[in-house]
Amino acid sequence: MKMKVRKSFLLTTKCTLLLTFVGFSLSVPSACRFKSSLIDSSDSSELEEIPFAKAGSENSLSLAGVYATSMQSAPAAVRPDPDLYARRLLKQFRADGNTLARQLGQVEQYRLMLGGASDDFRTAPQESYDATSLLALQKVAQKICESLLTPDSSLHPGWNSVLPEAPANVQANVKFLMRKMLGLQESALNATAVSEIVEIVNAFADKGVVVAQSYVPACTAVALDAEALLL
Amino acid sequence: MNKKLARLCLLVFSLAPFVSAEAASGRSVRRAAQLLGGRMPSDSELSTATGSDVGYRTFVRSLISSNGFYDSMLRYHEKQFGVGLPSEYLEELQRDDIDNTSQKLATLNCTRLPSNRLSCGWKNTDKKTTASCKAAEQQPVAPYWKQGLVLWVCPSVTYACGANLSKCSVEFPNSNEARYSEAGTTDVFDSKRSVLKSLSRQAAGIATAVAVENYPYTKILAPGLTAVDGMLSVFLQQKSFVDLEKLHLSDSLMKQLKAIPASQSKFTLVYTGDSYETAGVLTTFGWLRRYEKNRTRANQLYERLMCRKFSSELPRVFPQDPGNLRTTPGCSGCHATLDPLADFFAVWGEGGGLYSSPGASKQTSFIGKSGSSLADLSNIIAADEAFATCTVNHAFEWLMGRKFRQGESTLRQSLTDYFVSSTYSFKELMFAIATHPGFVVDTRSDANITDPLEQPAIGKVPEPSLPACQTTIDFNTHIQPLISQCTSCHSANSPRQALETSAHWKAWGAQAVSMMSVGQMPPGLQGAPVAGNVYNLKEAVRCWLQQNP
Repeated sequence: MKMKVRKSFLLTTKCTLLLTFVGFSLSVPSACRFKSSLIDSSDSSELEEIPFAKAGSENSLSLAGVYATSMQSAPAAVRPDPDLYARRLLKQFRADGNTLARQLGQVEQYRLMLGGASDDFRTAPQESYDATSLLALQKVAQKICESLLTPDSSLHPGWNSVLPEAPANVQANVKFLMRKMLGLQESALNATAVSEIVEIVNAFADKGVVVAQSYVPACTAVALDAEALLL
Repeated sequence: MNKKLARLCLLVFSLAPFVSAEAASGRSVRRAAQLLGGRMPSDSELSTATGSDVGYRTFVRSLISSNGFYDSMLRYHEKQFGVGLPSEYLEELQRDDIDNTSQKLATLNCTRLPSNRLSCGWKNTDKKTTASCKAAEQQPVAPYWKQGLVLWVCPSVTYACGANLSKCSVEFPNSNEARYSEAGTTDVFDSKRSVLKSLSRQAAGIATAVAVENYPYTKILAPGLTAVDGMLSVFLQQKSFVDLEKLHLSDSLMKQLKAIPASQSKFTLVYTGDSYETAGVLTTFGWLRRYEKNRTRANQLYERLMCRKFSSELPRVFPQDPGNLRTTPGCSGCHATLDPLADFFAVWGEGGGLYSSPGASKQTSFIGKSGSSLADLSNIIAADEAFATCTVNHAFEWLMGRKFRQGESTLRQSLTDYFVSSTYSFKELMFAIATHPGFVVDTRSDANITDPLEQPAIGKVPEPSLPACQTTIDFNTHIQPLISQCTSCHSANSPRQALETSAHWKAWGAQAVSMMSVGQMPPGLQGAPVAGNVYNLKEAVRCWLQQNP
């Protein structure tokens, strides 16, 4: 974006202030107003420079003083923003685009039950969970997981299953989902937790064969895990 | 599947204990990434950030410089300001003198044809302009909401809506899908919803742009400063359909709109020159229309920008005609402060009166400081420490998930001092909290604080470290020679408060000092003065007042 450089500010001795809104003018003596020396071109298509100095940057010495002042208790758990939950979960795997917007539109009906804000913000987004929002969350997580694991060619054009390995490689796929959805490194995953999730996948095998669909309940469970719900 | 899933509810709650305990900073890395960047950290980021203190600080710094920070801050400010607009308010802005019908804005319906061609036609089929055309007569156009997209329309559409369709309203059949379309990334689009979203978010857009561009956070209230994104730019240039007079926009803004392309998804700061009746977020259409009455506008800013609430013991029996609320017992507790504060908004009409010609300003005061315009109010708020403390309160709650506790007053003051000393850098404030040893711990506490810290005091100048007054100040010797930088405006024959005599300075010196100390006065200062005539005058007056109480 090209900026037109403001060359100078001129103090005028007699000026009439034209207030910025239409049809309202008020005569005011002068030097309290600054007059721009910009050329007043009606065809101007450049932004005026913002005439404010920038704020400061990091000051290690002062910051050390802040760090030296202790807190009385730890941070509280934070509920991820209900209005952004579905988008953020999807964006861990998918880029913005038509299909993502369509998928979000499909879970829109659950947004208010999830605790989202009303259009006019008279209802603020919920900051904690209740039974309704938790159940709505389960449904949304399930829908999102279905779209990630078993995308439908008509509903989700251009999307393939996010599983990095063949469905039969349950251990690797589960670890992948847990890493992405919980924001953990593989080394930080608890082996017992991984086994539990693997068991869920196996429990939903189709006639003894693990398919992409078998991962939906496990994916939903991971999305509802405390580590993903509360930070 | 559903029955099986239901069984999972029980399992879900048993999972938490199995997830391994993280290294101390691992959890805070995820939290920082979510709250400051809107995403989970990658493996390599986790490795680096959990590896060392420097690694973590570098990671937080990278989050604050990322695109995700803009999105997070936009949402943060959306919640802080609580501004949202129902669609009726958009309809109010449409001209009603075009065709005397309820359909004010030419609307296009767009859809994908079986041939996979995206085509747009007139929504109303009973209009002269709706004559359809054969497929062979359709022309390709490049719409403004997504680069590279090609739509096919009849010549009448191109003629009426422009080569990029920006002069008409656009709808796609799936409104839910369009609701979640991100400008520039999707074919589907709903211009009405997009404009409404941008109008609603404009106040948040100003504050976000100020924070991201690292201007002093006090500038969110700066007269003549606003922010516009691509959707608003397109909307405000639809002069045929939008009754721009209702929005009281400046000529300068209208000229600068052309520099903001429709594809600009982020809010860009636009400076329109001095304007005594505007004050950044407080005079956005969203704030003024959402908070319709002047008392509501004042109440909301008192609560949202200064973290203070009006509360008073109401009389047991309400008098039928309470008279002057500012003086009536039981009412005056709030209204003695609230009503004069509301008077700063006097030029702006209330409710639908917002669209009428602005009214006259009123001489009024807030926390003992007088003024008549929103620019004056902006100066008063920015020069009061309650604003800085309140900003710290909000930022702390956002990142920590809880309020300050009673025993954390020193911490709040320490963060406030750091924020003020960084010339109100919101980025630095976020960095200071997100890298504080208390943020990085692995444990979590209860969000319900039973001993919250009291609301910030008002009337205190935010100046953490004042030098001692070592010289005895004499008004004629030390102050009089410096006041010409004020008296060009503040003279006896001007509408501003005169600042010519020692009596004037005795009465108004404290207010002048607070405004000079944060760079609000005289106009044109580039931040808080640290040397030069303004600094010398401020220090001389401060010490003179201290020595002559």
